[in-house]
Amino acid sequence: MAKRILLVEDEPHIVEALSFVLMKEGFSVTVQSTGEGVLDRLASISPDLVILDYMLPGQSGLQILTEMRETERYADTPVLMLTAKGQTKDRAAAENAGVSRFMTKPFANSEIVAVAKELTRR
Amino acid sequence: MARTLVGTRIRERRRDKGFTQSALAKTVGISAPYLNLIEHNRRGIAGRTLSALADALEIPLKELAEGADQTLLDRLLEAAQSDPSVLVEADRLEEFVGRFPGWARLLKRLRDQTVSHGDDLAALSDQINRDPYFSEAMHLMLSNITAIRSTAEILTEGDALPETMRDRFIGNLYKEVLRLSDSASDILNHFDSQSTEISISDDKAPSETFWSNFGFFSEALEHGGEIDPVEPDPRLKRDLSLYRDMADAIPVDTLTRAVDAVGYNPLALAHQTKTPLNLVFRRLAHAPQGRDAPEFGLMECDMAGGVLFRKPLSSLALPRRSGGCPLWPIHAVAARPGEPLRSLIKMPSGEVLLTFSVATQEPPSDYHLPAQQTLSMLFTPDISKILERSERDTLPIIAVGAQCSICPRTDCRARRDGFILG
Repeated sequence: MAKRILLVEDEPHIVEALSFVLMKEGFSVTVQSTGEGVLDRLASISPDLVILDYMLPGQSGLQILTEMRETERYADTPVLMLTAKGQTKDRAAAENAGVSRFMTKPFANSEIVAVAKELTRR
Repeated sequence: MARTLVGTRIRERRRDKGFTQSALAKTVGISAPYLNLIEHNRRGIAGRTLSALADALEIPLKELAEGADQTLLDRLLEAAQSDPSVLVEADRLEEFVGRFPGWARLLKRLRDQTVSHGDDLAALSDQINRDPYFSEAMHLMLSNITAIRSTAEILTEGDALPETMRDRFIGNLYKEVLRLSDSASDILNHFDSQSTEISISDDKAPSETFWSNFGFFSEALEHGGEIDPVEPDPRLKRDLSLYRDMADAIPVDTLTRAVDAVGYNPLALAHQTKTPLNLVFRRLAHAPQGRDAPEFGLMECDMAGGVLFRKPLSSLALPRRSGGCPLWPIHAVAARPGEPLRSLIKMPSGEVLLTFSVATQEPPSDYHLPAQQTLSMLFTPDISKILERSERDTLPIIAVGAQCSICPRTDCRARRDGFILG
């Protein structure tokens, strides 16, 4: 059965490219383009991995991550956070909130595929 | 230190004037071999012979005897310290200045500019980091680049893509390239529009350039006129305001009459003119240059050690940003606002300066805020124009430096930085 990924990203062309690359590798990808309603979406698809943009309209990736970790059901769901803000303080904030992996834009497709495979291996 | 160079200066000056050694020796009444020894700094020289040489070489005695100004030497020492990986013959600095005065001035200017440009870069970097527009624009550009990179990788991987999909990715790529191009143009326009606002300073702060240009004295300001500073600078604004207060309180003719009555003793002048001591300090620093008037330098700091005003003298280089030597009397008055100090300070070169220091307070802008305190130190090398010999002998002499990095007093307990030659 294909591993399920919830991709939360508001840039449509990044979404298209990543979706294509991940689906080509056998993942099932569901896209959410705003930060609002992510927890509801999580409940409906129970993803094996959430790829979460740091800066999103509505609710930030950091807020979503914090809410996930406070919810027992998603406390251990792997989260890969993508950000154009590579500053140490943002990384530290994400790590404190319980991120599984932190990746700075821009990145190679092969990098994100490798991380997605690693985080969904469990 | 001066002795080793006096000969070098004599030799340089003699060559500049086109004299042979024997001709100059004959003019001043010494033998040519003796002059040769002097010129190679193997014999000390002072008194009548030095005076005769100064006359013959048509150079002021003080300039021949004391050589390069201390500010130049101190700045060059700072330059020598700036890159520890380069071994600099710092012990031969005076010789360098004496033999190559033009190169020395150029090096000092380049050093000043480097320091100034470093400050500008730091300010610009700070501005960029705090600029919300720039931060947002960079975020957008990185997102563009991410989309372009991912899409381009898909298109170049070599796997056969359905034609419709390939066309769609090419279309996405084109749109992202256009967005990236727009973002880059927007950023350029943003900084272009700001470029007139960003002040890239000369090797001096605007207030220093301003006062240097005016020789620390302005007839216009003396008579209630206005000078519109070219660059809006808080320190210059404060200076101009203080200058007006000072000129109102002690016009030049009032100063002249007061000096005639009580001399150049600042406290006596404050009583005579019924003016706060810090304004008297300002008045003496901003006085027109008279033939017999003492030469005054002035430094003002805030309580954080930031330099608010500086009028250096060739005998005492003042730091641009920090409070200089921690032993300077200016720091001693911080704990005793309003109580003036009068001290003699002895520089490592042996020169003794007379200093007057006071801390003045201004009311805070609101309750529960500390009073704003300004520390001022007036100083002069012309001690005999102010103090009687007997008065001078009663004052303690404090051994100080300019700042730790260029101060050879290696056993000083107040030292906070190493000495470059230590």
